[in-house]
Amino acid sequence: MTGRQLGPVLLTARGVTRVHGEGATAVRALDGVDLDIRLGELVAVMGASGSGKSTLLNIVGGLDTPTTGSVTLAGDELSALDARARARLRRRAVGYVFQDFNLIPALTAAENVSLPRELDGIGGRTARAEARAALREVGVDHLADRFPDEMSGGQQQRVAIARALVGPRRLVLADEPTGALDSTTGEDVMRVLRARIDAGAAGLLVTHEPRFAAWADRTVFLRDGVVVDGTGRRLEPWSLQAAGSI
Amino acid sequence: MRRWFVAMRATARIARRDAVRSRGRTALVVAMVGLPVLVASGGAVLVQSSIPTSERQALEQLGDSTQAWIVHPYDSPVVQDAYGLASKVVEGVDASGPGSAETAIRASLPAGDDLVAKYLTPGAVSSDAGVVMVGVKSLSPADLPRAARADLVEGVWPTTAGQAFLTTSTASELGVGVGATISVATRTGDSPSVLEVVGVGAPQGAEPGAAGITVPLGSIPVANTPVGWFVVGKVPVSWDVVTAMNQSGLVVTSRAVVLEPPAVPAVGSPGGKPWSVATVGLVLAAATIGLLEAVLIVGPAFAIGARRSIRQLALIAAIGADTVTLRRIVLLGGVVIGSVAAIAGAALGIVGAVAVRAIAVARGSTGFPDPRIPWLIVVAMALVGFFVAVAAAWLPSRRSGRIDVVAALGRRRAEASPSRRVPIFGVLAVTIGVAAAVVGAVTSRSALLVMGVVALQIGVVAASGGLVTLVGRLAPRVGVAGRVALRDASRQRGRTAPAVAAVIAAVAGVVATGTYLHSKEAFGESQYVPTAGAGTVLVASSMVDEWGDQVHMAGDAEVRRGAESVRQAVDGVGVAVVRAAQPVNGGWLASLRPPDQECPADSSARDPRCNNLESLQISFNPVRDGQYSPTELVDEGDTVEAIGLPGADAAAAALRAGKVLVDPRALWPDGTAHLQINDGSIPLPAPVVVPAAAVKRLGQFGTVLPTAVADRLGLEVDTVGAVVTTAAAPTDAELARARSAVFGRAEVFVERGYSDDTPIYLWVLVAAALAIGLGATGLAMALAAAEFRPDLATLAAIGASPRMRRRVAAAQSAVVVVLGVGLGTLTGLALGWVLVLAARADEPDLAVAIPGPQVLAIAVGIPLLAVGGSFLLTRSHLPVTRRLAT
Ligand SMILES: Nc1ncnc2c1ncn2[C@@H]1O[C@H](COP(=O)(O)OP(=O)(O)OP(=O)(O)O)[C@@H](O)[C@H]1O
Ligand SMILES: [Mg+2]
Repeated sequence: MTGRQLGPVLLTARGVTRVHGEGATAVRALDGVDLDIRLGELVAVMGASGSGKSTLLNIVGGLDTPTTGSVTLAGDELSALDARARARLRRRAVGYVFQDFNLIPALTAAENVSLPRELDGIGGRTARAEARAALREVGVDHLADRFPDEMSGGQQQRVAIARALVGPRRLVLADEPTGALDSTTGEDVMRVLRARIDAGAAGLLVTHEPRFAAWADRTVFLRDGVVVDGTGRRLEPWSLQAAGSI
Repeated sequence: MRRWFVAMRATARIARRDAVRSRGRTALVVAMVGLPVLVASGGAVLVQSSIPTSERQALEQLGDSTQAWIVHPYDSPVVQDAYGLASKVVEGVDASGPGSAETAIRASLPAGDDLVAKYLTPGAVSSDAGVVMVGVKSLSPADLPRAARADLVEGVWPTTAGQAFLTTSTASELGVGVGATISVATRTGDSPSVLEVVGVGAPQGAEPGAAGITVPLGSIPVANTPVGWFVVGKVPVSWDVVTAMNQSGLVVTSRAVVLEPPAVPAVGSPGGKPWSVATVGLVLAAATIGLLEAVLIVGPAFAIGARRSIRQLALIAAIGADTVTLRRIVLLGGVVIGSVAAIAGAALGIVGAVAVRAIAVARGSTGFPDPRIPWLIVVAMALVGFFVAVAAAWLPSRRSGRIDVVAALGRRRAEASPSRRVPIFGVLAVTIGVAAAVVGAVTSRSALLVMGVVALQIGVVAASGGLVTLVGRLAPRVGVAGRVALRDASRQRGRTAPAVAAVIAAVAGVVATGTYLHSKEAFGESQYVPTAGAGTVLVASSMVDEWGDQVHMAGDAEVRRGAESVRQAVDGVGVAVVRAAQPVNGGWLASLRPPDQECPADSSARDPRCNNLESLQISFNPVRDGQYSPTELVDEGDTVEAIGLPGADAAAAALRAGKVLVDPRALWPDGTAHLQINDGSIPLPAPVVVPAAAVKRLGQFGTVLPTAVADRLGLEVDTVGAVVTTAAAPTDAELARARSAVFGRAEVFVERGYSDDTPIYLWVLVAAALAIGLGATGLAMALAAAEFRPDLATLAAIGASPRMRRRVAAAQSAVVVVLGVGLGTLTGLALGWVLVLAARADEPDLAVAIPGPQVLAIAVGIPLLAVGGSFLLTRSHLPVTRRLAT
């Protein structure tokens, strides 16, 4: 997938380190991670269980805070924001897609998708229209009034993708979105995700399976919280950049 | 503002749908909040409906065919309400000069209307079948049909003196009908008027059973002034006429005004005695405790709801909700459920009460004249219910704001770890609370009392979390099941603590209420002074007749005859006459106290020496020549024995030995009494020293003298009544027969002993505590079981016996219930003690009495039932293990 026209940088992480606990029991979930994601780019993150993939996702979305290092998202330096402002950023700039339990069971598909807009104070009519549009983009607008327990796993993931990119949101943070799906459905979800990103968004995709990672523009490998190349060597920032343009 | 509203609406949608989705939990809370609201508002509607409206009261006063009813209670100008039910004198205006009320009325009476004076004479009306005391109405014969306020059923209206109209109930009570003869006595000694019954009818108004006799003026003696006047005729009496009459001190109930009441300010009718400061404090404290308990009891349902939806909350946070929004979702759950419960409770309460009233009315009850809804109370009840639900959701909502979103999304323990400061704060609050409550109770400072009580209760709940952690430390020392349960309880405090709090609240509330009520009852019992042994009938010669006139004293023979007829009526065993003595020249007999029993000048108020000597409790006090009230019993032992109080045998023996019976404080060290006649002569005669005895708790006889001593003192002795001993307490019917046997000559009463109905309602409270305590424990257990399923599967996999699941469940509920009941009992005793202290401001001798059996039943019963129930109700074989549904 060379030669793709990439947009401006949407997300920048520099020297992100996350230490859980203290003293002898301290765990370095992330250790000096650097990362850039541009508009139109889908970056896959792979690594063994416990290597820090979810931690990275949580930090760049502002759910977790790095012990050291900085994250800049849509022009905002996250460490400069308080919890409220980070929540606002999550409503407006990024959306998560998890492995399962993505949709709020009490809300219909359309209500799930419009929720970040409504929490942001965008009125019902506008929010509904945006939600419809987002659902149409992922091909499930006919399910708008279904509740999550009336939808298949793949349909639910599509709705989650729609929600992650509703309104002004441009960055999808997907943590094994295909993990709970059979491979055919997983491919479908990946196709949708790829299409949405090509239409003007960016994504960070955590996955175990190279098959799904192949949908990404490039892949970042994590081992024990450190970014390594495919052979396990630690990558310097410049080579990471290089990897992105293979 | 608009943005806020949009966000709020999205939040509310989630809260609302969640409430609908978790139906069981919602129904539970709705029931817990709604049922009390239902009962309270329904009860309020029934009570209000049992009170006739002002309009109905006024119209009943008027009957069907009068224009107005006028009374003349004052001599100076008054203001009154539209119904003539409340009135008061205008301050600072002089009496409106002389002149009869009737002249004043006629001055303002609308032309064309007539005035009918109504006279009322209390009379003893007798027929062959019996006697009834009733107010006999006298009206002018011409106006009688219009002003009698009754509908003729049989016969005709009386037209001349000597005829009488009876209401149906009075006629049947007297066993007479049209054509019968009755006699009406209006004064002892006067010969009764003999009247012929010419008409019988139903009174107009709600009380078809009302008693009544109406006669034409001149049939019986009447007072000089009428009790009031009816206005009859075609012309309505307007509000202007009413206010004009008010100027002459007249109060008017006018049909025209009642049917279209003018907007006049309410006239404050004299209310009841205002509450004392202590009572206000007590009521406030009790209400606060009640509200707090309710909040704590409902709390776990919300805490558990918030816990179960913790991943959903985390997901919403990931979508972009901030802390405030997360808190709001949980709190709005309380708002949604609270408003449903409050509205449904109030509505069903109203509907239910109206239906109950309708059924009662259809079955002929006259107790509920109109369906009336006290909106203020109903709304207040609904608001209280709403408030309880929202308050119960408040704490869980605070916790929801602090969840660890990342952990919840990663399925790890996501609840904010409990602060160490909370238990410390709890202990502090308990200490300060107890101190404040005690000071507040002792000094009657309601605010301090209420604050103290709240601090105490909140403190115990706050500290209980710390205790859960503390008992968690015991884990290594107990068996596997206990260890698992203790660890689980202390690690999952978010689940354990609310359940413990609910059990504490239920138990504390009940123990406090029980202790307070039992203390009151015990005090009442200790203060109760029986006049005789239970079931004994006392016959006392009357000093006044039924018209309040003094009558002559019955002689010994007459008293004996009366007593004998009473004995026959009540199927009594024996009769003993009661004789009493008084100095010949009036005055009284004093028992002088020995010097060391005198009240010291610098005494405290509680010194028993400063209380009066006990005097006779039975009112055997007939009057002779207008001024005779003997207080000293004269007895050879038979009467004291017949009265049959504890110690009677010893007292009778002492009397037979010639000793005088005195109050213990009037017994001199050498075993004598010093009796002095105090008839006002100066100097008083020297005291007479006689051998004496004191019998504990028989001081209520006052001084009892053998005849020889009475003679020696020169006292006059009369027979004043009799004691009839019975094999069993007489029935009401027997008593009624006894009373009519001596009607007008003697009073008959029966000593039934102290009636103690405490145990019943205490046991009701215990049942409530059991229900709530078990409910709270069960709720916590159900959740624990669901959360615990994977762990148990693991346990089973490593070879734990299938019974392990049951044992773990039993141990889990034991942790909750033992802590909750233990702390709850202690808190309840403390609260009860504080309440008793507060009530002491009004009743200084009130002492704390703990209802032992009931407290024991709670302290032992709830743990046994909860632990046993968890053991038995838990299936020992696991169903197919699934991941916990969220
Ligand atoms: N709250 C925490 N406390 C302590 N250690 C933690 C915590 N959260 C994560 N860790 C540790 O940080 C490391 C990274 O965890 P993370 O969840 O990011 O891994 P992951 O790559 O997403 O793994 P998986 O593929 O299993 O999802 C792990 O070693 C984990 O044990
Ligand atoms: Mg992960």
